Amino acid sequence: MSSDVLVADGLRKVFAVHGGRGQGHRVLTAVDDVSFTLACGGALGIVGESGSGKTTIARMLAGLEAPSGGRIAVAGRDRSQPARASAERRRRGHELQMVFQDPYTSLDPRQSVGSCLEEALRLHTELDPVGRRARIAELLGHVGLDERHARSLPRALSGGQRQRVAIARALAASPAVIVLDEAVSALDVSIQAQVLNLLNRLRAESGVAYVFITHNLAVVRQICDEALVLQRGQVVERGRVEDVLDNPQHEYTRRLLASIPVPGWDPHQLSAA
Amino acid sequence: MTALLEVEHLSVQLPIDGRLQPVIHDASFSLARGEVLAMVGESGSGKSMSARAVLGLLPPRARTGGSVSFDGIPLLSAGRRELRDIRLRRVGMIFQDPRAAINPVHRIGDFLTEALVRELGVDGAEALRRAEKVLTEVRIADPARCLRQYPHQLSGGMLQRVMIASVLLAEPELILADEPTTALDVTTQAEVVALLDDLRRARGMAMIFITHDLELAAAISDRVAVMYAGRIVETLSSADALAHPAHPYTEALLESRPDLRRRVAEIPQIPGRPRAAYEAGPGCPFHERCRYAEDRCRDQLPPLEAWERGAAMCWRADELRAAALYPGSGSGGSVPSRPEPGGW
Repeated sequence: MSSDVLVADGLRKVFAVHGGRGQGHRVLTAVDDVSFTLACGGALGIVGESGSGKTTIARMLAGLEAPSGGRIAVAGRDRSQPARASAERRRRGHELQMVFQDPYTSLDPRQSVGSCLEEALRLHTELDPVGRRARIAELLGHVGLDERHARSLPRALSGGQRQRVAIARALAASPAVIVLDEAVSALDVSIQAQVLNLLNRLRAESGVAYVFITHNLAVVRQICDEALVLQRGQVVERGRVEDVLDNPQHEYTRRLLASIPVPGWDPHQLSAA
Repeated sequence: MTALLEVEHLSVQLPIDGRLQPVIHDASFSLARGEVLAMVGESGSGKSMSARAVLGLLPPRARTGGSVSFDGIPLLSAGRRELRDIRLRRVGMIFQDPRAAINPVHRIGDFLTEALVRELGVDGAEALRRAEKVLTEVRIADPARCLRQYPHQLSGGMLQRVMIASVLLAEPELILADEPTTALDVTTQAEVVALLDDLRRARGMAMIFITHDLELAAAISDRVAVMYAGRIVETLSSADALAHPAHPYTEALLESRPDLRRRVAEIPQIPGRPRAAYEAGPGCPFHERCRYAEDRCRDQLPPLEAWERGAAMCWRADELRAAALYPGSGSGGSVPSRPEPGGW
């Protein structure tokens, strides 16, 4: 077995929220003692609904939120505390990259695709301009785009193409881990299939590992090796994807599975349960 | 028996990039009282626009053609007043994002009673009583408290129940539900769909349910209309929608959904991207992504042709259906057998 590229241990995040009138602040525990590991080149699905804490976990992994407690290590290096120096931030970016749900907002509307990738390469690699240009062509090829697209602004691209650009930008840093937060949820079905196949191919070819944050269990089945089911900030079930989906142990996992429309599905069965 | 809603040869053009471009081409469908029609398609297919056109809820400067008749009233030529009255009393709309449709600075009670009091002349106390009753019907646990709350205090699922309640208050004959559960969590979606179905059945209301999810559509509707590039390319009964699609697009859409039950090496994908209506050429709008396309598909638009269990807009629908329903029945070499997964 390969070793673990990512370790999260006893992760916690609490937020202070305003109560109602005259109630002052109260504390909301968004992530409560969550631990997991991700093998090198593996794919872990973190599954949950709104309020489950899945996006907060993604943001802590990427350093966009500081954990209230617990420990995160990527490639053996601790990142539980915010990075102070820019060199440290760059190093962390080189280890872990993120792809967000909405390709319409995660790209700069005034920056061409080529310039966006160029910037990522300038930050994260030692390549000279010639090397960068070659690498941009290579990255676009990996995600099924070509050099024509390098000159395009995001608005000239379709939703699926933009998400490919976001994936190419993440790959530019040659990270060990990519965190994908609902990265295919906003895409049309026919485009979603293309991006899922692309993600599987990239992982097989490059050995990059994925943390795949999603509410969609069918996507977890197609992309992930292991799954973690979250409910209100806590892990209620974990295991290999086959085990979690074919033989769910927790009531909440069973409910999630039964809520997905499939042939013969009847929503009334659920309300009864 | 006459249909509640009859849409014939509906076309809609919108100003895009400074000139009028088609978003709906020649769409015809009808709906009987109490019937549910699901309209399914990807983004830009025209599924929302066709529902909005029915109610005259199109952007200014939109141009429409064809006819829409609601209980015998021609809607496309109806005046503002008449349309407003129909929207108030006879047709209700539920949108994807209840937060955008409910005024955030008013209490739920005000939102629910506003139309009753101001437009229908119901007395204030009576309106509140009705609002509380209807909140009970949408299974909100503490309706009196809910009436005093503001929208931001409710979850998305709760707010969508309030939206449904507001539609029920007017006791319409037709509900237009535009992706009403897309923004909800999957367990909440199941609850809201079940609720909508129960309430609609109890009142005998007809519904047009717009969604991108074929499996959800099949579960909630009697009939499904599949849209692509501004055209209805297939209509079929919900019982057949998942098992016997007759149009290659419907078939491909079903195959390209990630399978919940088993992992596949490669998900069958439709090449290219969905086309907008204004991008389509003279032929079948799907031909460039279709694995069965022939020369004529590129040049000639196929008619929407009826068969026993629906209608499909495909030159090869007959032979494909023969191959799919009777596999290996020796229809010659020209019909592809059902392709291998990943064989696009």
